Amino acid sequence: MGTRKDSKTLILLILLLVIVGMAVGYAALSQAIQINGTANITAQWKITFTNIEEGKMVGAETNVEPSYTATTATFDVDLLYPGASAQYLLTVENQGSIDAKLINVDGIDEANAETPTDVKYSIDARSDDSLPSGSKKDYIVTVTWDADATEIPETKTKTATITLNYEQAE
Amino acid sequence: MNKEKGTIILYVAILCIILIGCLALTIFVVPSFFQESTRIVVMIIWIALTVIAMPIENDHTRFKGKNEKIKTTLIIVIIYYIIYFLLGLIVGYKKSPYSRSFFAIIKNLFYIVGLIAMQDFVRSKVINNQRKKINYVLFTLIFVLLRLDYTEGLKVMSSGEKIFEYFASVIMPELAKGCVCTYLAISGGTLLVYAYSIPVALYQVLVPIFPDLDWFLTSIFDILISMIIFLYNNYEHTIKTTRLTRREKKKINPIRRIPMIMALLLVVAFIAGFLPAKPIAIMSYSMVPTFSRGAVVISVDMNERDLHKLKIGDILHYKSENGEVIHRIIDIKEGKDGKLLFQTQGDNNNVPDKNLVEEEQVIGCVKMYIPYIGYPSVWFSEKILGVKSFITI
Repeated sequence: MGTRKDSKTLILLILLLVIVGMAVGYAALSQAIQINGTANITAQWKITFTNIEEGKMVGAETNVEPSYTATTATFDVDLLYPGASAQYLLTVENQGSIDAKLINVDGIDEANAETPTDVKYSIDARSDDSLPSGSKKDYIVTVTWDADATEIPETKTKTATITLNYEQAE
Repeated sequence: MNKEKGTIILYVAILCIILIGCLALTIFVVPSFFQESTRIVVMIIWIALTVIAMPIENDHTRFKGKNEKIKTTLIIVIIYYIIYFLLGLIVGYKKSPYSRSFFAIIKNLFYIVGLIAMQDFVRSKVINNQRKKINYVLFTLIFVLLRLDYTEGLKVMSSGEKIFEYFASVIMPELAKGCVCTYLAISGGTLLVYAYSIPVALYQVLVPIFPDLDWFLTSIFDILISMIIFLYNNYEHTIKTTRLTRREKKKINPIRRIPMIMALLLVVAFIAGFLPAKPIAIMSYSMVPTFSRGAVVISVDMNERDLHKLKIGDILHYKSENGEVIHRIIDIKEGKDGKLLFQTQGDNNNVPDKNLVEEEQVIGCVKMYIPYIGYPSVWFSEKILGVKSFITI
């Protein structure tokens, strides 16, 4: 019986060491791990898109009516000439019971770096924008064809995956 | 005895008041304004209950081998969470919504882990004063109800599908957890309950990333850990409290049940469609006489190479604008880009399907079917989830 007890203590110690090892591994590799959004580990965390609508359009035509799901918003627009721009109004709502704040916006720089580089995306979101429980916030996503562009790009479509990363506000 | 009964009635009354109070706070009070105050009020109530529960003496004769049980529970919980965490290497990770700042971690430890610690302390004290099984059930239900999120509960009433998701992803795991905590409280007291509930709470609050599993798999894993902990503790408890021969001990050893658990997991994974071969319940009559409404067909996933092995007469499972379709291939053509296009038709239909099926639309190929056994799924989908048809004609 004594041996069984000792072996359990030993297993526990080994497992705790494994956890420490995993924590060290995570600290070392955290930059390399692909993170896909925020986990819904608690029912109290629920940040979701609740609306998308057309804003100011200059030389732009919407191809497909803008739409949204809980975590994605989609629009499809044609920019007709250099200097044209389209704006879409996005509404984000905190339907959970944990106050949240925006920590960063991913995807804008990556999208702007891709061809056609004369077409640029922007969003008026700022890090640390607070989104208390039960509140809504509107963001404007703007897509612009540079007015100084002199060439018609070979690739006429440009997609962007913009991610708004929220976490619990302190 | 009368004093004991009086204490129980008092506790039930207090817990019921808390329950009603929490319900009222979460439903009627504006969450954005009173959220912090709601939490503080709930914490104060539980601190008061913990203080009241402290002097209650428990019957320690039932706690035989408590330390062994605690170690076993801790080993299971740690192994489980290591495996669960490593699953993220396959399915990817999502980040925790909880803030990583020192102040926020302390706050979460107090509000989340602290609250669970107090609830389980009171649970253990109250439950160990009971002798009747009906009281165990009653208190388990009360504690399960106390831990549910009612704001979400009311929001999901909008559709059958959401009610089912809430039931399967929130109520069932919470019920399993509640039952195990009650059992642990009876067989080992507060510390044994803590050996299970505190690491689980700490994992939620402290770990920065979680495996990117969907709600179904997460709830299956939550129920599985409750089941394993119950089996092992029941084994430890039985061998400590009953005289058993070596053979009898071997017979009740939970290790013998691992194949059964693995088989159960495989069945769940198969039914849920996580394996390359998926069962699909047929909801229409378009493939009569081959198979009819209520049949279950097994659709096997296909890669690009498999697509070129398809021939006329095979039954194709593909995505269309209106949902998923299972129809027979009546012709195979080649598109301008060299990709295959499939002309399909239901066996019971007079005309071929309007659109050709592109390679990207193909989900799988039907390999076998079993008549009638899909009717429960068909009725459930139609009556409860309000789905008219998974498979279009």
